[in-house]
Amino acid sequence: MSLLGYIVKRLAITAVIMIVIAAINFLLFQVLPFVLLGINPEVWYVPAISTSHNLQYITKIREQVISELGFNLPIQDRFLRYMESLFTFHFGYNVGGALSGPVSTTISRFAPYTILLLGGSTVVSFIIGEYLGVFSASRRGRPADKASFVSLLFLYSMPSFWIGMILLLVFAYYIRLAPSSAAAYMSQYTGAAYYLAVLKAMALPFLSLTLISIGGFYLIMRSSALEVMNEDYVLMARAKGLRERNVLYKHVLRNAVIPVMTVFAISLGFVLSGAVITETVFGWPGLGYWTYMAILTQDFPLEQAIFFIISLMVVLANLAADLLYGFLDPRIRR
Amino acid sequence: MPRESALKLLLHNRTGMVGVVIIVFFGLMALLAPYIAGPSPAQTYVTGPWAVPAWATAFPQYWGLPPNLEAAPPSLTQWAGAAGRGAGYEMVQVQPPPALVSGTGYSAPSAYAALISAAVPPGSEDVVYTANYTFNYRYRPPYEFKFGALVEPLSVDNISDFYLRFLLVKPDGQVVHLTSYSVMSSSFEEDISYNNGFRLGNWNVVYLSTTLPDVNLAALGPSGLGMTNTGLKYLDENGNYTLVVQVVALGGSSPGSLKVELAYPFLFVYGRQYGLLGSDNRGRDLWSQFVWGSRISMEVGLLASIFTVIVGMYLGVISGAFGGLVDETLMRIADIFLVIPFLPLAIILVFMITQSAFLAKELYLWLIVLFAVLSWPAVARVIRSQTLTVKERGYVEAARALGAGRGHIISRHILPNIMSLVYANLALNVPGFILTEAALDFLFPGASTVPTWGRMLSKAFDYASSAIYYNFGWWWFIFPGIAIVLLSLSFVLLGYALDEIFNPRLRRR
Repeated sequence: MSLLGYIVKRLAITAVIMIVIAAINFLLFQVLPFVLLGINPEVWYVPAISTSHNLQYITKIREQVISELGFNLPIQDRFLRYMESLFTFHFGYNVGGALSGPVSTTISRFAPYTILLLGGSTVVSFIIGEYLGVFSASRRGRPADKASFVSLLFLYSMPSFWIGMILLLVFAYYIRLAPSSAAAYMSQYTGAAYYLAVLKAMALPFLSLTLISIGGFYLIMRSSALEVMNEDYVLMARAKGLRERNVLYKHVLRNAVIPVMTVFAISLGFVLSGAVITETVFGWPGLGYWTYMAILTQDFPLEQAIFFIISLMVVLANLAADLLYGFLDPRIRR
Repeated sequence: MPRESALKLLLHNRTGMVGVVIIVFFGLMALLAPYIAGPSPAQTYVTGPWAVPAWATAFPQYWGLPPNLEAAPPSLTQWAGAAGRGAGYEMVQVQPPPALVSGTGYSAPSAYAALISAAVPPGSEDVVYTANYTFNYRYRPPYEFKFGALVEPLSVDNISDFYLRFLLVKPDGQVVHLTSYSVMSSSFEEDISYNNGFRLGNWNVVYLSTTLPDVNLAALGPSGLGMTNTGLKYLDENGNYTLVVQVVALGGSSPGSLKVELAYPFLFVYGRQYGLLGSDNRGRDLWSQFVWGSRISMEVGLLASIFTVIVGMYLGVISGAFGGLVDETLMRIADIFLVIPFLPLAIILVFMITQSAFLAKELYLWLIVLFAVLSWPAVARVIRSQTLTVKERGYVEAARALGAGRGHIISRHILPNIMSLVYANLALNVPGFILTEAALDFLFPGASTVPTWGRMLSKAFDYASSAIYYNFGWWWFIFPGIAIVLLSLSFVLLGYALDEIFNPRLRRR
C-alpha cells in the first residue's frame, strides 16, 4: 500500500471512531443521566435565569435555549443536532451553579491551565525518563541500574493523589512555600503578578505530575534501549571505536525513542487521567479539575464537552502516532 | 516451556519472589481480616479522636499520652460508700440489663448495687448517699473521657426531686462540679457536652462524655485553656483524683421518703494512643480499617485483572487466528475502547452508580465489571500479535499441511504459546486497577461505607487540607499509602519476573 493509501485508511478509521465516540458521549450525557438519575433534561439543561428579569423575558429565553439545544425534538433529530454542535463547538450552557455562560467559553478559559501544566510536565518527564532509561540500560544489572529501576518502579506504583498529598503537606503546610489551593491563590492577583502567582502555584502540581509520569517513560525506554543495544549497528558503532557516550546518546537513544513516542501517544489518555487527580488535589483550575467538579455539580453540558475534547485529543494523538510510524517504518503500511 | 521449570525459575528470581512474598502477605491479611482485626470495623469510638499508634509513644513528643483507661471501675464494691443524714444503705445483688454492657461502654457487669432508703424532711436538700473513688492519673490530659451511673427509683414519696451529682476532686483539692442529673425531670444541670439520660428496662441510665467534635488540634494547646467540654480541662494535672457520685434528695412540702438503687458508677478515659495504627478523627480504629481495606484492593485488583485477561485472551486469539473481517471488526472495536479516557469515564459512571441506591449496593462489583470492559482491548492486542507470530511458525504450517483444523491449531499450538503472555498480563494489569480503585475512592469517599485504603486517605486528606481543621494525622496517611504502593509494586515485580522467565530474549546473556 502506498503512503497515501495508508493515510486515507487511517483517516477513515479515525472518522468512524470519532462518530462512535460521539454516540457514546450522547448516550452518556444526554440519555443516561435522565434514565438513571431521573432528571428532566428540559429543566436541567436550560440554565437558571435570574428572577430579576420579568417572566415574559424568562419564558422567551427558555424557549430560545430549548429550541437551540433541540429539546423539543425527537431523539434522533436531537442526536443530529448534537453531532452538528460538535463541529461548531457549541456545547450548550453551564448548569449546576458552579459556573455560568456558554460551555465553550468555560473550556477556553480553563484549557490553557491544563495545557501549560500537562505539556510542561510531560516534556520534562519525557526527557528525564529517556535519559534515565538509556543510562539504566547501559548499566544493566549493576547497582546503578538496580537502584534507579527499583526507585522508579516505586514512583510508578504510587497513587497520584498520595504523591500530591505528601507534597502538599510538606511544602504547603509544614514549610509553607507553596499555596495549598492553586485556584484560590491565583485569584488574588492580577496583571504581571498573576503570572508569577501561576508559576508559584504550578510548582507542586508540576512536580507531582512529573514524578508520576517519569516511571512510565523510563520503563518503556529502558526495555526499548535494551533491545536496541543488541542490534548490529550498535555493535558496529562500538567496533568503530566511538566513545561509549556517543554510542549511547546518538545511536541507542535515537533509535529506542521511536516506540516510546508511539506508546506515549496511546497512553495520552492515561496522562490526562493523572491530570484529573493531580489537578483536583492541588485545586489547579484546569480541565482535569473541572472533569471532577462538573460531575459533582452535575454540570453535564460541561462534562460532556470535556469528555469529548479529551477523547478527540486521544484520537488525534493516536492518528498522529500511526501516521508518524507509517512514515518512519514502511513495514507498518501493510 | 514446561510449567515446572517456569516455577523453578520464578523461585530463583529474586525480584519476583519479593513480589510474591508481598502479595502473599496482603493476601493473607485480606483472607484473615476477621481474625486479625475483628469484625468489619463499626462506626464506633474505640478510643479518643486522633490517637497516635501506641508504639509512637516511644518518641519524646508523644511521651505520657494516656491509653484507654478505666479510671474508676464500674463495680460499686470497690468504691467507698457512705450514707447521709437520716439515711441508710445496703449492698444488694441486681440483674443489670444485658444491653447495657455493650451499648454504653460499661465495661464490666457488676452484680452489686447500693439500695438506699432515706427519710427526707420538707424543704431540705440532703445528700443521702455518697460514693467515692480515688484514682491516680499520671498522663497528659485526655481529649475525652466519659462517666456515668445507673439509678433506679424504687419508691418516691412526697419529695420534689432527686439528683445524681458528679463531682471531681482535683489533686490540689479543687472541687469541680461535673454535672447534676435530675432523675425526675431527666435534665442535666451542667451541660458537659454529650449528655444522655435514657431508660433501659427499669434503669435510668445517666451517661455523659466530654466530646471533642472535629476541632483544630493546634488551637487546643497543651493546657486546653479556654476550651470547654474537653477532657483537657478536667484531667489536666498529675496526681490523685477523686470522683464523687452523690444522690441528692430535695424535700417537698411535707416529710417524704426515697428508696433508690444506684449501680455502675464509672469514669473512662479515652486514650490518645491506641493500637497499632492509632485512631481517626472519630476515635475509630485505623488498624482494622487498614486490614479490611486490603480486601477491596485485592478483590478489585485480582478479579478485574482475571476478567480483563480472560476476555482479552479469547478475543485476541479469535482475532489473530481467524483474521479477515472478524479481526478487522474486533480490532476496530478495541480501537474505540482504547481511546475512551479511562478515569473520566470511570468518574462519571461511579457518580451515576452512587446516585442509584440499587447499583450503589454492589459498587465494587460494578467497578470490577467496568474495569474489565474498558481494559480488555490492550490485552487483546498483545495476544493477537503473539497469535499472529505463532501462526506463521513452521510447525503450525506443517500441522496445517497435515490437515489440522482451526480448533486443533488454536488449542494445541496457539494457546500454549500465549500462556506466558497471559500470566504476565494477569500480574501487570493488577496495579492499574488497584491504583484506579483507590483514586475513585479518594474522589468519592461517600460512595460506600466499606473501609478501603483510598477512602482512608481521602478522609485523612480532608482533615489535613481543610482550612478549619488542619489536623495532620501522619499515622492516618502513611500506612494506607505505603500499602497501596507495596501491593502495586509487588504485582509489577511479579509481572516483570514472569515476563523475563517466559521471554528468553529479555534474559541476561
